Amino acid sequence: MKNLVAFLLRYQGIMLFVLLEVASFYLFLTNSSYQRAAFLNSANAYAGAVLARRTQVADYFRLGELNQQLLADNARLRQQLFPPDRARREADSLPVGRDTLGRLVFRQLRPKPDSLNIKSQALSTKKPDTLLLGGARLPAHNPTYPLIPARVINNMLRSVDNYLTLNVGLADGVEPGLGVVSAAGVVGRVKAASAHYATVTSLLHSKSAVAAKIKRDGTFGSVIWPGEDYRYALLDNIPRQNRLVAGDSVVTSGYNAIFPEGVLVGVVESFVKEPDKNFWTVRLRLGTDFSRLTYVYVMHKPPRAERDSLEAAALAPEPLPARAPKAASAAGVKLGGGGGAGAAATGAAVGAAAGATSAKPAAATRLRPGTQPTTKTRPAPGVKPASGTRTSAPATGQPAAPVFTPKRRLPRMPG
Amino acid sequence: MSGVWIIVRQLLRFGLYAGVQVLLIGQLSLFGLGWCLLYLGFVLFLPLRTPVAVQLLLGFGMGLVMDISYDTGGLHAAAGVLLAYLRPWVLRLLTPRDGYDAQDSVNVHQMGYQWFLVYLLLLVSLHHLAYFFLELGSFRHPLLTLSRAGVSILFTSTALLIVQLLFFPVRRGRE
Repeated sequence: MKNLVAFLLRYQGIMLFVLLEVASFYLFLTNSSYQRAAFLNSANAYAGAVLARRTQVADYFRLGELNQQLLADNARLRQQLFPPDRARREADSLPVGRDTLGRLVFRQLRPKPDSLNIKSQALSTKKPDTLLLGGARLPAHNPTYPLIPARVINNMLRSVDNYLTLNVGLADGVEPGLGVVSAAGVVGRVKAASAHYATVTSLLHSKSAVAAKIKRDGTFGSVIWPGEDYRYALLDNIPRQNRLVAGDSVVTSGYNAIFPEGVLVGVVESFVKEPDKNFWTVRLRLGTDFSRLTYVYVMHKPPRAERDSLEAAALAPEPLPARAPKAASAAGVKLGGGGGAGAAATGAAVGAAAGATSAKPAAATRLRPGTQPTTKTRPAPGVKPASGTRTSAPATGQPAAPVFTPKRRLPRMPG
Repeated sequence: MSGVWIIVRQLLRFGLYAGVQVLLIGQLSLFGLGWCLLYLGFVLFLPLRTPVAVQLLLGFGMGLVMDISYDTGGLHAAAGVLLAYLRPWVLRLLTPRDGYDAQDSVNVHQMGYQWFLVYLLLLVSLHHLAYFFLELGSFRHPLLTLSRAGVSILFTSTALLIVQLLFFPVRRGRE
């Protein structure tokens, strides 16, 4: 026994060494197996806390590097998320009608890849032949009114004059002057187009005006945007004696042939009668939510040269063939002819009432369709004479509305 | 100096070396090849008369802490135990002509540069070679492994020399 103790003490070093090495090798060789005690790795609570704290501190010293990494990651993810902007010109689903409860019915254009049924796939990829845009049922494949689907790639809301950019251009058949609608309503009018992109004058533009009417009783007016709030616009030229109801739909009248008749512009929100005006000040809540505009459609107008020349000829007491089309084409940002037509009509009425048949006032009134929207929202120079003539109309004994509407309707009817 | 004080002091050293290694030094890398295993200083700078069994257990414990931190299973522990086992042999090999004094410790100022550098480089080299070849589990890539071991030896030795020069008392001559 004494010898054994002496032996152990004599060789304690080598024995403990072998023992500990065996233990270490056992731990090392079983390191990758799952049966390991969870304590002996960095996942245990104490080591984990220490290492987490170390990472916290160490990360602070490489914030720049981490930020670069995150930026690179974000860029890569965004690239995955957003295809090149010539792709996805069309919404993944399109409004094609309304069900019995008045809710929009959408048709899915691109089926999910997991839908393996070929028949249903073929059915659902078939594009609808009519689209419900702003409540109006529009033919999607009509050769005279082709709808060009587009995606909004830039949008402004806060300026006085707002523009949109679309990812379609001349190559897709977009031309300056065409109307732009979304599923919810009127959006604007194409201002300029390059080969693959187009700039659109938004409805939220100080010089835009859309010829509109109240859907319930057909009263005509023109929608302008006073600025400030992208959700609201004003409906102008509604005579005082007309009854208005909050919630009335205001739709395009179809007079200016940019938009077809019946596309929703907005809903009457409130209206006040101001003491010095013959017209209601009607506040509209716009149908289109410009802050969330994604998919829009560019609409072709039907050939209107004949109609333009006819209207010009009917309005002009003297033939001025060169001036009238020029004025009409000069109306680059004019969205609707309603306001312009009204002004022209009142101008003609004034001319008739006063008996002043000199060429100069006539030319001035003829030029109004082009210049009038400018003067309309910049109230100082243009509106004053116009409202002056309107207030003078009742003074001559004629009620305003009957004079106003037939005169305006008369030249436009043939179109 | 009472025994309790010695134990507390060594425990503090243990914590200090382990903490500095895990929190600071372990992040560093030289030429992308070698690491600094500063924790070896704990075993290397133990008092000269520490019993072999205690040295082995301390080396094993320190290695295990590193294994837990770096998820290497028992690699650091195996190399650490080897180091602790070899240390008395190297000390015996380097015994001065008249043997070690009672006050002697592993201190570059007391033992001189020559003694210290031989001691340090010999033990660190043995540890690192064992460590890197064990880590690989074979002798397949000798050049790469040797270069990693060499760079690490350089790094660790330099760091430990700096630790000695900075933190160990300067007491020239033996009393």
